[in-house]
Amino acid sequence: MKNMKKVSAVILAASMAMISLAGCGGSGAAETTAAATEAAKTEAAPAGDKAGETAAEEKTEAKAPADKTYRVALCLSGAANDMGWCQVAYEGLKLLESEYGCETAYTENLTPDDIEAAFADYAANGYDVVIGHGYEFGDPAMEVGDQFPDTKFIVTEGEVSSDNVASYVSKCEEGGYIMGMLAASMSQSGKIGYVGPVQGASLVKIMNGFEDGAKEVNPDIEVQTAWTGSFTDTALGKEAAQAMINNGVDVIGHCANEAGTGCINAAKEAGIYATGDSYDQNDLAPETVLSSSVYHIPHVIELAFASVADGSFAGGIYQFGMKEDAVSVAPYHGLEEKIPAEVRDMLDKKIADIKSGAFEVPCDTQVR
Amino acid sequence: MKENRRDRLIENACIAAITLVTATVLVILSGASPVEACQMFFKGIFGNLNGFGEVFVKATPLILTGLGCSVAFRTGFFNIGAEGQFYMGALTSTWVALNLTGVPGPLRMVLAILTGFVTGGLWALIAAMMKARFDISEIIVTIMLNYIGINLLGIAVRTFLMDPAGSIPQSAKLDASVTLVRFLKPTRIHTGIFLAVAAVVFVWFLMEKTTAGYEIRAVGFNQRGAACNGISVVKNIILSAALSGGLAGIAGAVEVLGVQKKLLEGISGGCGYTAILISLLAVNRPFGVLVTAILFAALSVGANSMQRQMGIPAAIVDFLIGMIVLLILGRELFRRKAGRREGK
Repeated sequence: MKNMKKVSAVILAASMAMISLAGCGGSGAAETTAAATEAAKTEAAPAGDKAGETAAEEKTEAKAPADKTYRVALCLSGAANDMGWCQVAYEGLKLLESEYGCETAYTENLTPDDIEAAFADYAANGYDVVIGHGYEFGDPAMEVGDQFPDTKFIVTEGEVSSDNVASYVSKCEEGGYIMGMLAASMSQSGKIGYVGPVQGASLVKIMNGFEDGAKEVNPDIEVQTAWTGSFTDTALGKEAAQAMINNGVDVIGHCANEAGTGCINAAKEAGIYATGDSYDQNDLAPETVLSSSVYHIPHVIELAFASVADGSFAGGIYQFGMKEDAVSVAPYHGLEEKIPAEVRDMLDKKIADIKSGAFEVPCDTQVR
Repeated sequence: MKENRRDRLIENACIAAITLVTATVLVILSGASPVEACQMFFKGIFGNLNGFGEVFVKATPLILTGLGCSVAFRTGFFNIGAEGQFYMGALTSTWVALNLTGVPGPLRMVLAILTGFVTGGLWALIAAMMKARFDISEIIVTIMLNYIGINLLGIAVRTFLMDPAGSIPQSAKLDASVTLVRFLKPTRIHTGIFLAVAAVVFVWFLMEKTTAGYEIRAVGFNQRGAACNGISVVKNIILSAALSGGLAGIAGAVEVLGVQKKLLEGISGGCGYTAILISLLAVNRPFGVLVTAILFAALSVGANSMQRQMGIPAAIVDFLIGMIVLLILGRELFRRKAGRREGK
């Protein structure tokens, strides 16, 4: 019996040790997340600088009156340090904090079933502006917006609008169009490829823009396309690109966020050119990435907020493209000499035409 | 008996204390003030009507699935499949609510909930049959059925149930006439909570006051003893499994009809798994499930609000829940050892 007591004491001690171990594991995880955020911050610094520049240009146009501190909340479907879609929105939020003195909050990794709850929570806690970053936030914004008329809801890439709900859409297809023209100009084989993530309207339009741009340069060009079904799976992106390369494709484009970096890797290994998306991706593979289609989400978020701050906010679906500096094309970096001068001139002219409104890139959201 | 209750109270207090200390440490590590975090936590629950209502919105499916688990656990049928049963209930009830347009709204709503009950029950019945007939572990079968259920829903919202007007994998929005009434706007609290409470009373009555309930409990207490006294083990396992799955199916239906108003992936929010925990904590007692589920819902609402306002990683909450499970399981282990010691 005494023996049994000892045994139970040992078990108790073991379980205590386990608990403290578990505690350590937790703190370790928290530290790594903190470290990751820190890393992301330093990584993000150059992009942030860029955003800062555009903000500086904008300052004269739209500066919030200082008499009210706005409370702004941001809802993200992924992590705020994902080095892509969500991170740029987070940078936009930080921009509002530093430039307009907003009080900000954000929620990351929101699942579809929880979006409404998050929106309602922010609205009920007196936030003036709630931003949902992505088209999937559209329906919940309409639902909650109806219940909280005093809060303004902004949905990026959304397709919805009401009195207090507005969608701010980047004309990403403009960037895709230029990338398509560039890819088609650089292709020797007459076959180019494009990899997308998920068949959402805001992504389909980029892919279609790419195809249209390529066809403008070379009407006979063959554009092979694939959808990975994932924003994050780099292995899938690489596989898709490799299959295309095996089919004779010699320039690869993508709009697949993190998964797209797999396409760039595949292109790098095969020694062919690629085009980037979302931000300037040349540093991922300096000999491979010709140029990138860059989306200035922080700027779009700033424009959206500015309309709230100066009282001009109204429900609707607003489009912002190259003309508004919401979309741009990254420099060619070290590959400038590899691209024929007439191609560069052609692209510059097209960009100028898009900016002036002389040319409108077709926005086709139907999967082809 | 009295001693037993006091022991349990002390143990629960210890678990709560350990959890609280760990939570404080984690909050400090994530660079926030624990006092402010605590304020935000309670402000999230009681600070405004919306947060308070949200507790009951979150509690509704937890009560129903937790109740389902408790019924199964009491016969010794370890149903880990509430998640899959929830999904099947959600899937079929959405189909009924969307497609039986010939039936008037309120009647269609009742039909949808009944369908959810039946499919959830059938989904659990597969595992029960396999256990009763071939003695295959219900734990493995229910876990596997979870994957099937979850992915069936994934297929459904991309194919035959997908909203023809949209590009997101989710169903079309349900008609206002079929949805459960939200009676306390602007909160999302809906009449499903009454259904959940009614289910608690029903299960309590069934388990404690009827012969059927007595038989279910007897089988759980001692299978051989029950069999020797002429109580069919197979019948009771199947009965309780079906009821268990049915309750989880109702939870799925109610979540679609009351909260989301459409079918989408991840609709359960993992409540089928939390249910196991709730049932465990409530020692499989219906009213215990009710209280525990509401507490859990409050925990999640407060923690979410804390995360949303202060940017503290919500993963802390998942971590703490995992730790609570470990502590409880550790306690059971310890108690079993202690019990054996006393037996000697």
